[in-house]
Amino acid sequence: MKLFTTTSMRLLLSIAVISLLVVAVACGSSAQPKDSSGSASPKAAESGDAVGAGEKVTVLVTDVQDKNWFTLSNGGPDLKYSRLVHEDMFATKGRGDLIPGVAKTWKMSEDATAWTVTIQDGIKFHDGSDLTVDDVIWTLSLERDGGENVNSDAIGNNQCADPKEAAYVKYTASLEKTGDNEFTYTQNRPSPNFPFNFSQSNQDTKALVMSKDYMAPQMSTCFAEYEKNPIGAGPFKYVNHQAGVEYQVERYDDYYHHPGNGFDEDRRAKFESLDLRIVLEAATRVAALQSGEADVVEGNIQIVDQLEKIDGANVVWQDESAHSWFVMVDCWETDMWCYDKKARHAVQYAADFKTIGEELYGRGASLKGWAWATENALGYTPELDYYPYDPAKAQELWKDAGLGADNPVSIKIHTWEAGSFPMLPQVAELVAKDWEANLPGMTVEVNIGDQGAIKDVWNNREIPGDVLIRDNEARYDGTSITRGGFCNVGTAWRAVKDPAFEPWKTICGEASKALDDASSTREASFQTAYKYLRDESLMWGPFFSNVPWGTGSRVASYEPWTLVPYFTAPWTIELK
Amino acid sequence: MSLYILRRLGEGLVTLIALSFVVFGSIHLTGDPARFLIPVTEAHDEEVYQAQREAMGLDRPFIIQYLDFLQGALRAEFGKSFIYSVPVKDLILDRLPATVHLALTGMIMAFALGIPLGILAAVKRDSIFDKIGQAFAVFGLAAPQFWVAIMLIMIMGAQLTWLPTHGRGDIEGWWPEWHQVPDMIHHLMLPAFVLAITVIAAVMRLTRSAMLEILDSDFVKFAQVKGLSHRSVIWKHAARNALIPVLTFGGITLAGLLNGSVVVEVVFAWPGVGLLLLEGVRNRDFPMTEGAILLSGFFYIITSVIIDILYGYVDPRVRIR
Repeated sequence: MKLFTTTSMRLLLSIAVISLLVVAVACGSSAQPKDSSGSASPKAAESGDAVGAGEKVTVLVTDVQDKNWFTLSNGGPDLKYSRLVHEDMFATKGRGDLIPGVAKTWKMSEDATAWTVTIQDGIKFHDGSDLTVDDVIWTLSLERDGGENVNSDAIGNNQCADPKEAAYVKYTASLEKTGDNEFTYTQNRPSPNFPFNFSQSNQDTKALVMSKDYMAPQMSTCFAEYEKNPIGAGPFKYVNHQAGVEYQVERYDDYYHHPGNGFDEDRRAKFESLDLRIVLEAATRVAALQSGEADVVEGNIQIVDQLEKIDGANVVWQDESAHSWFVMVDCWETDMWCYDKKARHAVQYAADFKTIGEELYGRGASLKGWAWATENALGYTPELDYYPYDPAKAQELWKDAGLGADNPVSIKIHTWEAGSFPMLPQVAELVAKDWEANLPGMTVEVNIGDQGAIKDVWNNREIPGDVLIRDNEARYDGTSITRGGFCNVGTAWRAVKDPAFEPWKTICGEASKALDDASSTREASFQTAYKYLRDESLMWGPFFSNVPWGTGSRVASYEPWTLVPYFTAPWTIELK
Repeated sequence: MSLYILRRLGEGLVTLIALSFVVFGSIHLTGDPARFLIPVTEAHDEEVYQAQREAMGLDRPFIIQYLDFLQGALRAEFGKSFIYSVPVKDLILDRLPATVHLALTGMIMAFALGIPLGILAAVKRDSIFDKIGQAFAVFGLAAPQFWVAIMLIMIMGAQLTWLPTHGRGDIEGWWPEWHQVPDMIHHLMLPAFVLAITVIAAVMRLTRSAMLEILDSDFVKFAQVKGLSHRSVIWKHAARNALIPVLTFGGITLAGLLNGSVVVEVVFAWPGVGLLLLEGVRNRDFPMTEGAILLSGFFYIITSVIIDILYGYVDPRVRIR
């Protein structure tokens, strides 16, 4: 027995020693809560010219998209990091309000096809070279030029960018340098939304100004050097990155946008460096904020209460970040149950969106607006808000549309778990329940699937008569998405079968006429178009998600932009 | 022996080629990535769609696509990632150090904890040590990895702040600087433990079972009767025999750990190959998915070949057959 007792003790001792060694090494690296600043005593950062010396801010976000730097090879979510290093052509105040930035002045022609833009003097890229009109023209010509100054051979031949980007070339009539610091860009269609499309409030990366001298020689290697060392003119300089994992940048001291250069706002960072990390799991982001490893974390409605419970932490809201999108698929076919507009109105009156929105989302969503016309978007009016819950009216319309127990309807609602708009499956279930309860003869099956697979069947026209509920980025100016959804012959199939035939010709004509009307105010034009489209009800959406950002105990304030998705306005992060 | 080795290597190669066909074919059945990657406003523009397919090489006949893929795969060239737009090989090589470090640390933990615990449980059969060990084994095998990871992050990371909650720290590549080693271990602790917990439990149970069987055998009893020291009986006679199946199990497990655990990598934001595979599947990135799965298959096959070869040395009967 003594034999085994001694052995047991030795084994226990071995295990204990190994465990202690491991714990000692592990915990020895961190004797106190991790301070993401790396400095011994964080100090208050001052606004204006002062820099938080040695201060590092760590931001955790959900996934990005294509994860590389070249703007024509990546997508909207990549703005989370690329907008740190690059500057958009047109500056905004958030939302969509244009202000001078790289573009100093801009003027639209009477027919809205041409824009003449002057470029700000004195802006420098991070390598010290001047940002000139040639750089802006080169950037624009990458995918929008159909004229002689074309650099789109590489793109057109699909060498350096995805072919889908080449599709924009067809809208460009010309791009000319018309002065020392001026260019004129002309499209083959009215384009009153051109400045917005190339602004800090847009949802993609095409507007980020590239350095021609740095980039052009790299065309043959598809910008390989740039991918290792992206040079821009944004508020931060590139330091290091691991694609899809972490992006490290540091403050660019010569960033142009501050009161010393005549601008209202000081957009220089108030800290020395920023570390942007992709952390997919929400619980991990919460834990990192609590432990002090992160200063700002991207949240969602499901973790708001956890963020609020962290000592010293706050929640700030990025309002109207994404919109819900209910698509009545193929309802232009005459034999569809939803061909009659009354049926499409009936389903909206039959669902209690107010209760669904308030119970599911609370502060996490708003219910003012239609589709992408949110409360702060161009063209919003309360007349665009969701149809009120009115089962009696719904049943009346349903009956008038010839539907009911004698003519039952059986459809599917297709949706997926969307990062930018949580709980869409729950919305689908609740809407389905309301429809079945309030619309006689209606049965609804909810299909919650993979985003890619559902998009496939939607694109392949395999779900006629069903309803698709999805998310999309909110935006101030809805010209592009309205046109894409209703009027572009190649893409309007999503809402129209053939725009040349009624009723689509009228719909497209009316909407487009309003949007292209340069003589009226754009606000009025959009209202006209949106009211028309809301009435047609082929696409609609009552909810707009607000993204909560958790800020840690070191952060005094952060003011993310409204109506602009992804991580925005890093210069508004102030440390205590 | 040489013939045996050659035969095993040949069988491994054939298995890999068969795997490549299955992987290539099954991924192509999941849908068209060209449609997935085109933005909403251009999705039904046929010209754009066809151009996208051409750029991705998807317009060629299936068998041509496969042969092209196989030719590249034999050179470890899997093409360019659809989303990253860089060669898949570069992506995998960039992420492989993180996965290998995590897997090796997990293996070390598994054997350093599992074997002694298993021996202790066997030596002190039916004691409190044995009961605790068995309870831990059940927990380790049954508890969902995701839950264990979140719990440890919340307790060890957020509440106690003893260990980091995510990431690999400032470590890059295969070899950290000496001064980075403590930080590297620091960041490895939680994810490696979560990754290894199932293996610790399995190793513990396997060791215990094997030890119990060996301790009851005649030669161990004879060794005791002969008056050999307790250390000799346990370590020189019993444990050495008991650990043969455990080491075999460990070899196969290493292959599994090397493939990366998607759950662990997602929860801890660990930049390994498992996360790449997840991205590849989510985004219909055919080249990346194919490359990551084939790498996984390669690890399994090469590990089993090595173990079989080692077995051939240990047990001549195996190679003669």
